[in-house]
Amino acid sequence: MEPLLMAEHVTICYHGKPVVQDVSFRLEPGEILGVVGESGSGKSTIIKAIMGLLGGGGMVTRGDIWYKGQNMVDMSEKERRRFLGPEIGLIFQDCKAALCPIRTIGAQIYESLSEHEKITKKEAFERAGELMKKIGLEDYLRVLNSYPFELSGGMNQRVGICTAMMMKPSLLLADEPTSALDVTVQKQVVEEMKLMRKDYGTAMLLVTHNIGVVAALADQVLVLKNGKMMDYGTADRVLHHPENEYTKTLMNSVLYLRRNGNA
Amino acid sequence: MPEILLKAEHLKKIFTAGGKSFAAVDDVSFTLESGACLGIVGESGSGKSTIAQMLTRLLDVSDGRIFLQGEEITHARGKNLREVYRKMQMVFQMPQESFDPRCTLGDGIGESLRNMGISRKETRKKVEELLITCGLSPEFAGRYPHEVSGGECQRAAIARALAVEPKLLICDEATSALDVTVQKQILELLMELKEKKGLSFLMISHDLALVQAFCDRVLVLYQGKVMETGTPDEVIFHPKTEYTKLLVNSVL
Repeated sequence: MEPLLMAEHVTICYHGKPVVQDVSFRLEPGEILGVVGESGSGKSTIIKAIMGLLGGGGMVTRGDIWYKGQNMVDMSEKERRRFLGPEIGLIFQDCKAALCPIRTIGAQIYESLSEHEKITKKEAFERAGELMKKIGLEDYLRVLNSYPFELSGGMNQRVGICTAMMMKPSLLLADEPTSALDVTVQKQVVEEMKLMRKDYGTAMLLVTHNIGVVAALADQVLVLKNGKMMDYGTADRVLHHPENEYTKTLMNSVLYLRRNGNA
Repeated sequence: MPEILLKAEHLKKIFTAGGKSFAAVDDVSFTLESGACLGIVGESGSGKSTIAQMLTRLLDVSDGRIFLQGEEITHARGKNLREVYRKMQMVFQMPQESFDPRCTLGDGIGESLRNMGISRKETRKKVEELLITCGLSPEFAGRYPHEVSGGECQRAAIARALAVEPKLLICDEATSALDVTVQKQILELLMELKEKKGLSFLMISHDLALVQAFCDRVLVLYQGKVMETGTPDEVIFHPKTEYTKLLVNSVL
């Protein structure tokens, strides 16, 4: 079977300096790949490359990124836009910052939907409402009529997930989706992401420094250090039986909560 | 009986804005014994940092009293406050922001020594010793905050706090901005200081696992109120309140 997303020996440079070197991975439909690493390891750069958000000075200099058999690296801006949204969704660390501060949530969700399909505002709100109820935004009418600053961090994050999932993408790119949240809220968001995968069969590329989140969600794990691949394999193998020296150091540095006898 | 180093009695902080008042910290009391380590955990808005700011006199208390080695410091000012800072120092979350960007790390670390009237030469020697204690080479004294990594800068911030040979370090999310491997190194450094110098710690953190690994006692805060106190294992293994249960169960 053709993989949903495949990176082949990808090298990404900023101003001629490589920040990601020779990274390869493949993601099957419905699978969750966790990309872990410390600051400066190039985690977010990979997501930016897929989205075409590398900006000035950033470039994929070697290798290819294939999405459903199409090369995302060579794609024109216009072509890429067909994919971003309906096919590939994105959630950021700080969804509040990604939302427009002077327009209501509802208006922004409607805008992103109407960009890709013919839909009335009422229909858009109904569809958003259904999804919001699923991910714990019971009071969705208030949310739709609110401005981002009127909502808490956790609620904004859910709005981000909702906006990304509205078009039922096959692939969700999540850049530190829970890192700015309190642990109680983080747990809820992780549960909601699991639900999204179950209900819509969405594959996810989950970039995070939080090993706990990766352990809770990912099927496969890729460990990056200074842009180089250190380890790549099933979550159980990488997280619990690491062979690579760096992965061992990383896993040993994580503080786990001891609960009643068992570690 | 070990000496009681720090004691907070019924601390309260009320913020008022737009005619409404809000209790960020509501009736919080605790004691910290010499050589011990107390952790304060809670989520955003629970009042953790407000407590640290009141203890270090960066914020005035609305009500309640603070004692350091039996002396009341609730309203310490001027000369008295300088004496307080010789016993109690702080380490903040963002090391880069807690140093003056235009001064070298050496200047920052040595400033308090110079203020105490120690000669330039002595200060330089002391700064080098402090850097070595904190696992940095003496050449870091000549570097600027933006020229070092986050972990190195946090080590320098700890060196600066140690310059006055305090008895108590208040760490407000001191490792939260650091990578896990660096966090581990910094915690090992703090642990070593605790054993070698008999330093006491007040660790403010959102990370229950960190508090469990490092502290003797923990205080769980929620919306400004103390939910429970006890040893970390007591609180984590047998949480008494619903909130603590939720918090413990949420940790992945």
